[in-house]
Amino acid sequence: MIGIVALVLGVLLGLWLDPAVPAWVQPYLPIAVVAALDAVFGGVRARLDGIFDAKVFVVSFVSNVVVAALIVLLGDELGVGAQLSTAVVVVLGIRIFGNAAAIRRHMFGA
Amino acid sequence: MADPAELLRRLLPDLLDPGYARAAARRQQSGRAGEPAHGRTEVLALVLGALLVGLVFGVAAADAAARAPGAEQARRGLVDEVQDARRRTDELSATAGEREARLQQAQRQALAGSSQGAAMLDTVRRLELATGAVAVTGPGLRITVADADGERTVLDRDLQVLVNGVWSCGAEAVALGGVRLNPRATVRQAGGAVLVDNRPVAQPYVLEAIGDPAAMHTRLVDTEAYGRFATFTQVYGTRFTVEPVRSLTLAAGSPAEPELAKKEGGR
Repeated sequence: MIGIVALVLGVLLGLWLDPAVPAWVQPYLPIAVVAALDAVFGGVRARLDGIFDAKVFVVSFVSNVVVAALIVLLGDELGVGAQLSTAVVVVLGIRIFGNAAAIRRHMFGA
Repeated sequence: MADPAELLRRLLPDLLDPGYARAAARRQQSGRAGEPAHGRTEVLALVLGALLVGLVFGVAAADAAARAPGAEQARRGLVDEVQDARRRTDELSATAGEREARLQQAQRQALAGSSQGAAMLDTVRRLELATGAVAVTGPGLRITVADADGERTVLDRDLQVLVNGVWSCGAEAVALGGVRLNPRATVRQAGGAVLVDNRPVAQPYVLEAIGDPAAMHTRLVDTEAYGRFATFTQVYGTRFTVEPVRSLTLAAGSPAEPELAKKEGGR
């Protein structure tokens, strides 16, 4: 519960602050959003499984964002940034879908 | 290294971060089984993490909202500019047509009086006809060329040969794909599109030529172009029809700008 409150607070804070995103960060923002979504769905599922761990949640989120950004950065340097962005989105997307399905099974029993 | 199929299979069911399971196992070992502990650091980490995730969402949303209007504005501005330019083109071409008519009237008034003037007027008429500056109506031939389905056999150089053949048969005015050809008009290919005087023309290619239909038809059969397209029809199934038409109307084209040769310097 307190996690959801903090999440909403974070969203409001981000909207309210509306920081000027530097141009070099902009390509990584969508990747960060997908990684964050993955962390959230993974966390919710772990919670429903009864094995949630805040430390794992934070570490997995931060490391996901960093690794995804690094992969895309590497891709940009090699000239295949778009393809590697797609790869990251696909892998994280599969995980999001799977976890969302697991959450659905938990909540509706179907 | 395992084979790729094995790697893919391992990728799919492994959806939940294994860290959760490992942390739970660790807790079980240290005796704190069941529901996760709600210690201070746990709550702090949760709040911090959730805040961070929310911040990412919020910043991304704000950034997307800030960027979208810019792109949308630019697009709308460009659309406005295009529409403006189109309207100006229409206006200008209307003005040009009007002035053209006035010019012709003035020419006729100025030259019709004397026999010398009449001769000059006649020359002007003939030149206008030859350069495609005025619309013409008369009997002629309509030649239709189209590729067979899925084939791509008719190229720009075939159409060039056809156009030249029609000119050589005594055509007085020629239009290809609705574009009036002046003596300097080009037929060329850019990628898959055929450009007639730099305007794209789609299949089927319709060539209209004004002249005596029977005479032109007879002479056309002897040309290289006719033989080429007859072969295409046999080999590739290309459509190639020649039909006489009692009355064709060819629109005025854009005559090439006249250029005046000048003597260089005083030599």
